Amino acid sequence: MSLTRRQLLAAAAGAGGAAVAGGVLAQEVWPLLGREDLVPGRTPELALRPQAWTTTPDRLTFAAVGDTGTGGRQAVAVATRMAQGYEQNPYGLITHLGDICYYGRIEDRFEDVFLRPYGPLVEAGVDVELAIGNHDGDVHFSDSRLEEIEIELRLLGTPARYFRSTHGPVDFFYLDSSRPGLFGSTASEQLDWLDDALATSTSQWKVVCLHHPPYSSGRHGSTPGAEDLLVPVLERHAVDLVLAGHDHNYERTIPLDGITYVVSGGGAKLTPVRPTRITAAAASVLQYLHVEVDGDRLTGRCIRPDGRTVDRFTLRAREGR
Amino acid sequence: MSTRLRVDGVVREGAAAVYAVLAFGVVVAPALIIDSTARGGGVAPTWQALDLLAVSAVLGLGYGVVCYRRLRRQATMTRSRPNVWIGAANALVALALLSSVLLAVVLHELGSMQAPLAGQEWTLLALWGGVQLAAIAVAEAVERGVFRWLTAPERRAAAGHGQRRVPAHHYRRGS
Repeated sequence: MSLTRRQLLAAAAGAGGAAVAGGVLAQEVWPLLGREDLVPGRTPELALRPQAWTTTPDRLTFAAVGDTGTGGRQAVAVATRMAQGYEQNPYGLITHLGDICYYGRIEDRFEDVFLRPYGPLVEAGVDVELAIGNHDGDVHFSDSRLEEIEIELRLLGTPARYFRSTHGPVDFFYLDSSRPGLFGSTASEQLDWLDDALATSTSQWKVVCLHHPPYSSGRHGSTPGAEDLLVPVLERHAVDLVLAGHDHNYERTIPLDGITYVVSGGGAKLTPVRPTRITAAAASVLQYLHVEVDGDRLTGRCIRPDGRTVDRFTLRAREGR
Repeated sequence: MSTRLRVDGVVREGAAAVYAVLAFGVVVAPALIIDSTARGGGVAPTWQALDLLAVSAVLGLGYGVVCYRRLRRQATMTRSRPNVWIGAANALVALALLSSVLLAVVLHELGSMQAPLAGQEWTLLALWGGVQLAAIAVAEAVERGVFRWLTAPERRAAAGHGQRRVPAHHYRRGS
């Protein structure tokens, strides 16, 4: 069969187009549709009993979630499950592990990414404390980004960019890892603050929350510099648990010098995770972490939007605490 | 009818059906990807969550039928069968690219409109369907344009040595 000149030209255009389209779709567009959470989610219709939690000097229940900032269906599914988790086992605190807002400015999108999905929990009076993430502001560090972060902190009622809070038997230490590199040019200032704050902490449990994970087997991986700069401070003060986001998956490490590192970044999007030798549990799932502290025992459960428990772990308080 | 002609007919019909299935698959692919990601991530399957897939399936099914009927019809409109399949292949490429890229771009760009969209389910479904319909329309235009361009010499010849062009719809009637 011989082809005419027109047929050859059209066939070549089709073949070239197919090659380009195949590459664009397979490498860019379809992974983007799977990775991002672009379809707007429905507003959760739940009415929660306000202030239903109990916090005592030796008991606390809290939730930890990160990377929720899409306002999409997957984000709403996680938020809805968190509200249902509150119904079953109320908590008064959400430690947000950063990236509360993607695809725009927080002032424009606060309702989409936070007030609407987390409305039932906000109305129930649950506190939200934020560890600032790299998407909380523009991607590139600048004055406008600082301004954006300040707006975000004000909207959430978070006291400072890095701060400490105490709830029941737990001291939480929130770090700002939004600057390029680990804490950027202010690294020593922030690490000195953390060193001092941990040294003066007398609570039974010490939990450090930051966006960039010191250890991770996910897409971004372990944060460069964390092992040299941050981990020695954490080990020196016998921190119990480090909570992080950034990678859009769940991962818990085996205790590393007594510290358990958890990535709970499945608040809206998904990226793959490949377990490594330090991994105790890992899954590429949408999730949040429901944590109960009761005396010398801390129990964490990683929960999917459908209510299934992906991982459950128990930590015992350090000797002498 | 000879056996060879019968086999030819069956192959033609089969190829048109396969193409229709491909067109359907390309239209529903974005919704399938979003749905399977959510399910894989642990979102419980619900009928509500299938709304985008349902819209895409209806459009994909409709377009699949249009493709099937068009391919069968076009086979009688030209002496050279590659004209039909080259046009169809170009259309499928355009459809595959546009149905996914347009959705990704529109959804991303409308990020700031999430609250109104989330509050009005039909608006979201209309937006989703509208974008896919636009992709289908462009693909159909590509197919018709390429086919007309490929068959233009045939039509000119049929009109009498290129003295007068015969409109495509005359040719379709078999005149």
